[in-house]
Amino acid sequence: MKSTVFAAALIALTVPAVQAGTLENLERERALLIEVFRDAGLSLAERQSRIESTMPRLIDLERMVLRDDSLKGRNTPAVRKAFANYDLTFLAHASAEHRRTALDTWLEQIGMTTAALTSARIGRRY
Amino acid sequence: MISHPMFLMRATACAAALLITAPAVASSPSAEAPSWSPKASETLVKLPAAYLKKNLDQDFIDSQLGRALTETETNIELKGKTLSDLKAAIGQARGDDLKMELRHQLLAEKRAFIDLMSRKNDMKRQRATTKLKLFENMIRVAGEKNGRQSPDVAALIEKQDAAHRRFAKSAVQVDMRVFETGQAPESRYAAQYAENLQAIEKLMGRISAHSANQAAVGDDGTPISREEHLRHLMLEAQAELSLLDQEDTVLGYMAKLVALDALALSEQALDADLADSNLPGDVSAAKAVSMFLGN
Repeated sequence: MKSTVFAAALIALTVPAVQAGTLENLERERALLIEVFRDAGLSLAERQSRIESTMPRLIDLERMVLRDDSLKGRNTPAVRKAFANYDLTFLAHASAEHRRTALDTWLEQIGMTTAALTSARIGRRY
Repeated sequence: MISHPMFLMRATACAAALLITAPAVASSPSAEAPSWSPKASETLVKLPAAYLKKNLDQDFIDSQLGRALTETETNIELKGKTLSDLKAAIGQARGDDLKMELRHQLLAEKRAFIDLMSRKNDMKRQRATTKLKLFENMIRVAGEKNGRQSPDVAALIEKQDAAHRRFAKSAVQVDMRVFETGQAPESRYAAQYAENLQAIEKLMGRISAHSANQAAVGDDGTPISREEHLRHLMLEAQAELSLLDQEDTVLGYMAKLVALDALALSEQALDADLADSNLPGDVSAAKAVSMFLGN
């Protein structure tokens, strides 16, 4: 009994309570969405359905981040990176703003445009 | 005829005392210096601008220095009445002795009046200096709260502000787009947020219209920032200090005049006394010759 209490106390002391912030939650949801984009095993309909089901959650999470006052001026790598590119971080809002799909917006932001793909050549890189 | 030896002594002593104290009247420190330590500037800095001055004035009135200043001002008022009464009494007095006595009293009262005025100025100077330091401290505290940002943080905040602006502009558009595509009904978060936002807006409207939360206004009646208001109050305190310096000069001249009056009074009393006295050496040998002739 005593050892259990001691162990519990030790765990409480050594393991800090980890609470994901708004930004971490957004990044997790965005990562899941990008995974859907990249999943070659999904059919077109399946991908579309999964994207549509993710988008409302992503919109909410993006708004939570944008309204989160605790992030204001917090100079951490994650926050800096998040606000460095609005279109990439706030993918749902940026795509709705540009009246494009989230996939198109994402591909454009990472440099995979139609023009870039059509002008690409197959070859060996030395 | 003025021949009272006691009066003569007093008049001379008074003149001497006034001459000695006259140059120092402006800077003589009071023996028991009452003090004023205003509330912590961290507390005051949170008060609405319009209430800051009132709160500070109330704090001063309740302080030891404030009470001492009020008491001194009452004494000055009473002393002023005494001076007026004495002046009137001199005009109506009959007999040189009484007149001279009253003039002596008037000079003594004038000196006491100047002392009181000087003490009042010292207290007012202390108040203005304390206010000045307080406002400087408040501006410093406000500056620290606003924070001097590093270039990295400033750049991040700029990006965050740009993101907020972009979001604010596009939020409705995004809602419409989601609605058009019929992706999903409004989320619980969105619904609750909108409800809370309405409540916040109502409360904010009430707060901004509240009489206790009105921003301070400048000389032209336009609202000014808290820092600007503090700088304005600092200017007022600085102006008060400058005027007190000038008032001290006036008091110095008043003291000088009283000292000269005392000297004149003393000389007048001496003249009268000398006229009555039988000083040796008045009789010359030539005038006494007649006493030796004829027998």
